[in-house]
Amino acid sequence: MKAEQLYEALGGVDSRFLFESEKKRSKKPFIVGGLCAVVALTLVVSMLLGVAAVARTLNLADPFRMGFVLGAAMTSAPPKGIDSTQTIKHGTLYYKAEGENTLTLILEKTSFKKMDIHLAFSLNHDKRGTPTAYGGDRVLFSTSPLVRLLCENSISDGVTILINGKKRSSIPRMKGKYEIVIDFSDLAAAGYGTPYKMRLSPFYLLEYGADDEVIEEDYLGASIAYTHGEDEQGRPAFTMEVGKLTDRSYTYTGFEKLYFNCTNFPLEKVIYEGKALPKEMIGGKSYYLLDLSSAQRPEITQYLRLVFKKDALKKGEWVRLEMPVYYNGSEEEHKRMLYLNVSNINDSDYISPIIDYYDSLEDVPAGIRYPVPTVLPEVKDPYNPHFKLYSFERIKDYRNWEGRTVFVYGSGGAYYCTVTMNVTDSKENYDQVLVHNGITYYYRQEISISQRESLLYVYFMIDGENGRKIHCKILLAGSPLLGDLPWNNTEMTAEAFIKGIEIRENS
Amino acid sequence: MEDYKIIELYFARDERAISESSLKYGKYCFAVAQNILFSPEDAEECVNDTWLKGWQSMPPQRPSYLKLFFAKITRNLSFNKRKAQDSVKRGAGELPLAIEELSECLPAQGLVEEEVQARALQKALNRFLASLPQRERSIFLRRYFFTEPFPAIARRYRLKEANVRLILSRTRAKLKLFLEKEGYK
Repeated sequence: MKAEQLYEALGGVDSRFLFESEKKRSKKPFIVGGLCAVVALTLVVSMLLGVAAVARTLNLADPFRMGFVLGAAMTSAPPKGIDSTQTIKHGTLYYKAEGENTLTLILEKTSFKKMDIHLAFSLNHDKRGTPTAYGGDRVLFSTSPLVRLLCENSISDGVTILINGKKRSSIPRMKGKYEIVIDFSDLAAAGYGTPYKMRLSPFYLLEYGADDEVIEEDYLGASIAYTHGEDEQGRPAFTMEVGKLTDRSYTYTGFEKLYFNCTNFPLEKVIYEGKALPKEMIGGKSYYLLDLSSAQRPEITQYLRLVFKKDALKKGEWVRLEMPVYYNGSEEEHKRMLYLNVSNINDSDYISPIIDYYDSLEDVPAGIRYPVPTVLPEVKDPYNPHFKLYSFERIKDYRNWEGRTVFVYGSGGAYYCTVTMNVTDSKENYDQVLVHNGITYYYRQEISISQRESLLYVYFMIDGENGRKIHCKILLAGSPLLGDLPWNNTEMTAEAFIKGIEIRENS
Repeated sequence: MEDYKIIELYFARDERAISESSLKYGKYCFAVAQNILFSPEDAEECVNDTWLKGWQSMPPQRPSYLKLFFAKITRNLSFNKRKAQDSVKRGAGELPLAIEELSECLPAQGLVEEEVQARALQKALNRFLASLPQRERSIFLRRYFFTEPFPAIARRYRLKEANVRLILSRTRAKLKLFLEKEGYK
């Protein structure tokens, strides 16, 4: 029966994984299955090329001595060793040096495409140190927002990555030259791998970009992802990846014209394919225009580089970029207001697309009323089993709730409370209690992460004078990537008698 | 019809939601159920129940992946039905095989204690799956979520059946280690 429990538990698997498994034959090379064959082939070739001599000098009896072999996912022939160069899809990789437990690479990145590097670990070896089985790879560092989760429970914990001398967890998205030092010292020193008795064996590169991926966002409308960094003059620069999702079959189509601007932080310029974008006026306001109408076959995804004025954005601060976006200019129904919260994180260059939209170009509405359906599910709030729960998914948005008053209408009248949000990057759930106008107000936050988005959920509960309670879920903002994040989002709910929620400006 | 329109029908309490769901995902859900139940009649019944469950769940839920949302419902309904039939170990089809294979992942002694919350196990499994390479994870799920036979998985990923078996065997071994580390003894 225990296996049945396991089988049953798999029924609650994260939908992202299921979605991922729906894809047929990915373009990505199959790592585990293909690895044995390719690495074996590579080993043979390497031996023929005299790498055996190198192996002798590496003392194969030491399980953490590292030889590296490029295999599996290579896009060109494997390098012949140190001081060789490999052409890869998005640039070149130069094998600069190999140390006791380090490997130094120079990556010349020539595009903004995403690029993941994987390390493969072999699990078992024969007495001569020849790999006999492979346990698959671990994402070592990646532009993927999932990287930290992927590294969790993995054997890559003892591996340090230095990119241009700084400890990092991801390859910067921007073009440029990067020195990458992969340091296995901690792994070796810790005698890591007791569960696996593993040995570092093949090092190989897997890279893939947006054009290789099935788009996984499922929301209709704009999809924008950002990466951030600095331009050559130290100004904050974001790379904006814009696509337009037109249906739910996870495909993008391009757009002809995209008008956008950032209304709350001044943009210095926007670069597209090396040139500054022009501006046009719409409704008395100035917008940058990305015009692809004359392009013969515009790429599905465009990369724009947003350069903000110096000191407009500061590292380590949360910012919210409010970006009105029009598609094709005149189509009212395609107007989108996009909000983005960005936290500059020192050790990550990837900011998840923390974007939502709504069908209005109005500024944050002063008053919104959300009716609550009368059909309520019987879901228990894990934090308070006395409450019946209802999901307020429909009110999710990324507006700034700060300083607004939330009115909650119920059969007993209206409750309200002033929202004071303290957005932090703490991964801990905690409760805060405020008392305002006789209303006790609690909030707790959770952070959720998925492949394409990282969301901060703020739950708040209002306890009225007559003892009636409501839970609401408000999706506030994006969050930095944190380890050990909850996978399952708790549905926050309201009791049945609640008729609606209204948000108003504070007077 | 596009998924979001179907979802809107559910939210609008429009019964066309069910016919549209059935039209678009009926065959898919039937395949999911059939892999578990190995009985067309029972599978059909579970598929019908799936729409009902979907009707009850939307609103409030607004699934990101409607297809998989239905797949989960179908799978769980089918599994429950199969359990109710008390034929998990004896019936035909892929499910008994899949479950038997999964039993390797559990420690020989102690096993998963009954009081362990299914939710905790689910979270642990999600963590485990997150740690796997994508293809390995997908193959694992094709087998143990969708209960697909080996040849079907092999076709999907253009692999030999033996490769699929090998990959699954290794993944199960990893899962066993993982569960042991997580304290499932």
